[in-house]
Amino acid sequence: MEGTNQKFTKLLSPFKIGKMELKNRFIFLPHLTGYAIDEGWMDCGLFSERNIQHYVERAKGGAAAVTVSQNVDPHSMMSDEYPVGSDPRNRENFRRLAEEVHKYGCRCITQLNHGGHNTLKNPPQILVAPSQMPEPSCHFNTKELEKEEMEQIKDYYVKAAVLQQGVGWDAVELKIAHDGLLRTFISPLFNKREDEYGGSFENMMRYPLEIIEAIRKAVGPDYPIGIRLCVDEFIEGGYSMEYGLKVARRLEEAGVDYLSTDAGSFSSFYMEIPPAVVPLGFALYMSAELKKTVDIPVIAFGRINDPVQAEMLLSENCADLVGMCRQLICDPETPNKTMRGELDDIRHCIACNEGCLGNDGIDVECVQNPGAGREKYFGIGTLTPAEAGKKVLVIGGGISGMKAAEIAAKRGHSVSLYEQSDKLGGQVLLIEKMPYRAEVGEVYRYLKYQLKRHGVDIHLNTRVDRQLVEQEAPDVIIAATGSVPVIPDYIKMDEAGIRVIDCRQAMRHLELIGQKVLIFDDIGYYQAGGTADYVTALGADTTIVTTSNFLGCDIEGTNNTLLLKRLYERGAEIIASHTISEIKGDKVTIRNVYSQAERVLGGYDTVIIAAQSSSDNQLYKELKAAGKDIRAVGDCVAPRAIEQVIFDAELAGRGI
Amino acid sequence: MNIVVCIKQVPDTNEVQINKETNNLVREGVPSIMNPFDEAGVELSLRLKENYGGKVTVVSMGPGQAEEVLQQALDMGADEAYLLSDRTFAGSDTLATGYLLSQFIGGLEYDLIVCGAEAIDGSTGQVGPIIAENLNIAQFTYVNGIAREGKKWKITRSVGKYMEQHETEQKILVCVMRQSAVPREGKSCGRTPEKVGAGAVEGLNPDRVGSAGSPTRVVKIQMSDSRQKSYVVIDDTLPARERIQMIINGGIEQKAQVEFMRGSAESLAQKILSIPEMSKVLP
Repeated sequence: MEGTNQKFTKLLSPFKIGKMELKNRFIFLPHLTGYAIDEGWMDCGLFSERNIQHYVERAKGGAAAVTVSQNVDPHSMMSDEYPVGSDPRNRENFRRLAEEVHKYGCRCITQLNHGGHNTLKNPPQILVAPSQMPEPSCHFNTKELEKEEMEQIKDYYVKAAVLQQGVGWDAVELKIAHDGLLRTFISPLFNKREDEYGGSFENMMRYPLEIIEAIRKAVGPDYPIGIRLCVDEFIEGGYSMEYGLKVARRLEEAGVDYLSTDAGSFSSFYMEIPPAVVPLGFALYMSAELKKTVDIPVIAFGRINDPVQAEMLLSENCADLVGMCRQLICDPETPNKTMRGELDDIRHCIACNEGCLGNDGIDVECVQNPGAGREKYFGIGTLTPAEAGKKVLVIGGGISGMKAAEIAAKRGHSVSLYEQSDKLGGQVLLIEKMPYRAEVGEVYRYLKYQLKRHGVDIHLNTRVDRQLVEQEAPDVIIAATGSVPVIPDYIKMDEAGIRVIDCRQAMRHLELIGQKVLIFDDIGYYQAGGTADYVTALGADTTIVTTSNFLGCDIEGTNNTLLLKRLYERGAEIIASHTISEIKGDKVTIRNVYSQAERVLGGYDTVIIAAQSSSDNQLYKELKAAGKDIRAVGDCVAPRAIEQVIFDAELAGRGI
Repeated sequence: MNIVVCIKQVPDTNEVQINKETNNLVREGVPSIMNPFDEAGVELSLRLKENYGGKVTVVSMGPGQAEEVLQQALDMGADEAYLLSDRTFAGSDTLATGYLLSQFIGGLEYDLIVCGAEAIDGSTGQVGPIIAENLNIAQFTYVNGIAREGKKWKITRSVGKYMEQHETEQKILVCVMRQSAVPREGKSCGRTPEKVGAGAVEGLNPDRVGSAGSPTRVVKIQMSDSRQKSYVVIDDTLPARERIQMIINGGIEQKAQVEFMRGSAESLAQKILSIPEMSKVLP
């Protein structure tokens, strides 16, 4: 029953922002989805069916409110797949969203933003800012806004707020946060204007306050207006918390109804969408300070992925409401599971940023949740019992095998899973040893729990062969036999030379890693970067040679920025655009991939090769040839990352 | 050997909330429990009795409802229980409560008095010491363990990083920490607590109990800001780069590079043994 879980008395209790009643404290924070329809110039930013499904899923899952991030101005878009809040063509779908979301007792909040000096378009047509100046991390300069343009933008804000109020949305939030125009007006770093919109604090606050006032006039006194407020820009020369709190006080005076905590900027984007390197709940001190500063409700943010953590932050008076974004993308049912007290059943966001951010604004997905952005096919209630219960045998207890077993078992099949080693988890058991990647272990923790819960018969230390298959006589076999790393044959080696190992051996046996290590990257992902992180943390003198133009070209940006920072700080040498041609004695010959010029490096005791793996599909082929109903998943099909193998396995499990 | 344990019924502070308007504890609907420090005291006393023989007497002052915790102590294995309850005791602060308890306990046969180091509702930690002062006996605070050796009490105090060992042959009062013993589950027993009114406490000065005997005035209660928080606060005045690094480090300043040692178990053991500092700790 709702709200009866004794352990979460605060988290599950109702709350009010002005007259807007919230059934609990879970707020789905705004985020770029990339789901809006883009049919080119002036026909982009159309709020789609997919957008609707995405938010309705979180309402179904039990959140008290969903916040829908939108652009106000069709001329200044974060991306063309970003819904335009002021576009009347979106009216019908906005109305439908409010209607659907309300069915679940959930509130619908619009977040309005103007891209300003930020965009995900590369290159953008035009960026605008209070003064001509790019974001420090960006190479595209801006146009200084003229007053007539500012008036137009203000009108867009009002138009969007009114449009959505008119179709039944419950509140409007303005973004003065990590990206967009309004923060640049209040930021002493970005606002160098000499007119009435720059200079003094009151002048810098003027434009956002004018917009708030205009919206207030249009929506009436009772309609809640909130602000997502960046409390600390985390840029050299930018503002920090003390100033952020001053802004908060001024916004409260202006009649704002709530503040939603935010931090960072495009120049410190790993603080706005923090990867696992940034600790859980890192921004709670900002919310707590906001809460002390203002009397209006405060929403907490920043790596909050668990109801126990959420209850604790509420009881410590850090905030009134708990903002979750990625956690609800990963497990939309977090609030409902909290109510039911099924805490182990919650799939925690691992802050890998690969599905939701790694796509660079194309569309938000989730490594662990195939249903994110595909709610129609994989969302809540789409997993239906199989017509006939079958006997399923899964070969391999890595991620894809476990996932396929989970889905098959949930559909009522009788599933047994065989793993040749003594542990479930596959390559994640190696990944979680890498610095700051321990949370990836949640992927198998969650699956292990599901297997137990749904009665999968697990056999460890058992290698599956033809005989075992005959004996078990399953109706369907899932081959999740993984892959083996390969040392490319273009590397010439003399047998007596340096110890040459692959990255999995290095992660498995740290005693094989010497003091002078060369890591070769021919894959661009964590195999090299993560191993380098591990090896340098162990104190080895490390050189990394990559065939890419930079190390970690396929590692998601927030993670890679911090990874490169660590590697350089630990003194690692990174040589880009080179391949290895020969390893002889303690010498390694490398060759520039463009000029073909060769160089010899020396003095190494270990070379770690991170290149492609090859599918271990022998058994699959053998059983298939013998006429068995066998389906391959995961690396056994083609070696890929967690997101792809989980998706494979979900499909395979549903296909039985 | 006679042991007297003082216990208190308290609201379960895990559940307690502060009324924002009045700044008072909201007690309605909050479950009452035995103060966990006292519960450890009862447990320690029962273990002493089991090891060395004797009798455990439990005493509490409070309203009639406090019989519940005395019954719990009896069920755990205490021999006798007294509830000092009288309308004239209402409003007693720690000074009055300590006086009343010492007056009553002074009339009993005792070798050891056990109190909880503090109660989780008020956390003053004053009642035990006040009883000892009134009875003019030695007291030990922050006690983690107590044992009997012949005629001696052996007392372990936990002070900061250190453990202190004390010995004495006198009658003593100890104030015990909540982690000193894990209390056992009770089994329903036939014994019940006995109620003691003001008239039954010998030599009691009525001016020293209840509101009349209580000089303490609570001016204001509010949620403390200095409670240990589960989050890290970052110094806002640091440069942005350092703020970010502090957050990533979980608020810990990195002072020096740590030297890592790697190798097989044998070679690691050799390396560790060869560290100069090791000679100081190895025999």
